Amino acid sequence: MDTTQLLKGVLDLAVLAVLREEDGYGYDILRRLRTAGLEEIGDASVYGTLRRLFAAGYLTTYVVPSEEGPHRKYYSLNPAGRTQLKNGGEIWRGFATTMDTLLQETR
Amino acid sequence: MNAEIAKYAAAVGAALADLPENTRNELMDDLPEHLAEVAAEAEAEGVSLAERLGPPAVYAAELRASLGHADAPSRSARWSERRARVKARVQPLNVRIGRIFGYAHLTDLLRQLHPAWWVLRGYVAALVIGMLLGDEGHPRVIPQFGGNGVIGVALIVAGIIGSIWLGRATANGGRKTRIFSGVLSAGLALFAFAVAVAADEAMSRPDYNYSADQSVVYTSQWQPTDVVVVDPQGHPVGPVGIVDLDSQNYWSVNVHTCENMLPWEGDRWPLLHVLCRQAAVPSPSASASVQPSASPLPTPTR
Repeated sequence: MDTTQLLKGVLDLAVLAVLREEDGYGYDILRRLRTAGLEEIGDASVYGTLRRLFAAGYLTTYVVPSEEGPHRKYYSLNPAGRTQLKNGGEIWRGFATTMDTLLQETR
Repeated sequence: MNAEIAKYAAAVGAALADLPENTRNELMDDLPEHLAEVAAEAEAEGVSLAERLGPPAVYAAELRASLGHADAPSRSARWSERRARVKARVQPLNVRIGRIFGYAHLTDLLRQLHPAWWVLRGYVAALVIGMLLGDEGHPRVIPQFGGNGVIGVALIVAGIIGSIWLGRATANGGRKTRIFSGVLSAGLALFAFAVAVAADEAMSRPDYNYSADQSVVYTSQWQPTDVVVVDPQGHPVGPVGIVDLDSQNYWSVNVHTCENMLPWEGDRWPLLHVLCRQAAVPSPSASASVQPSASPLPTPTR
């Protein structure tokens, strides 16, 4: 099992998490995720996830004109997104603890 | 670089063509800008967009997965969907035409006609075999082998039995049987059509070699040297000459008449003999009506 398989389930949470402190545009968010250690993450996955989270009402967007290069669409967490991040985080921590225990027992 | 982005985005869009239009439009609206960011960095590293992101189709698949949509429908699924759509559109016609013949569906009628087609198909198959292996290189109503039709009849019977067997096997058979049967049927139907056309042409072809026991046939392509000119009742007239309007010359043909018919003329052209005999005794219909009739030439009799 590689990281990509695991990522599928938690990418939403990861994207919400990197937007917690600071708004960002698509490619910027991808870079942050990679810097954080999720190096196998694909550009399309992040872009698609952003669009889906936006459609679900967890993100708001605004456009920032850029002097060099294209306009940038920034994404920011709205209250619904923060709630989702909080709930998702709790589920993840519970799940991660269970998995940790499970893996320790099999060792 | 912009053209590359547009091209890449278009290819991704094409791979996502089956998504709901709203979802897709929303996705495609921002994609070029997003790709431009990637492209700017890729350019700085000296690689192309496709080198950086992989082929558009792979990118599209990843995008699709992250959106939570199912994989693109497989080719066979798309085919069956298309077939279902066509079927739905044709169905009302199927019912309406079927009703004309007193069936719920036209296909019900066609299904009942299947055995008739199997018999015809078997016969046509026998004709093909007869043409390929028989005495003559063209189809005969009964294929000829060794100067007679005995084997030909047996071949027809065998062809019909085989065709019926194939028809029943196809109904219960698998995909391969159906394809084989379909191709064979189409080939034989085409052959049958060609034979029918050829036979039709042969029937309407003018007969050049006139003999007294054959009926008279009008021809459009002749270069005669001996003619007789007849009136609407089919009675020879003369003496006349024939002038070609184009060349304004007398036509170099011998126009035969009844008045000075020589014995050898009557021997050589029995038709002239017959025509003149009939002209001498006008038929009741000819005397009663002076209106020209369209088909004046009587069938010559000996």
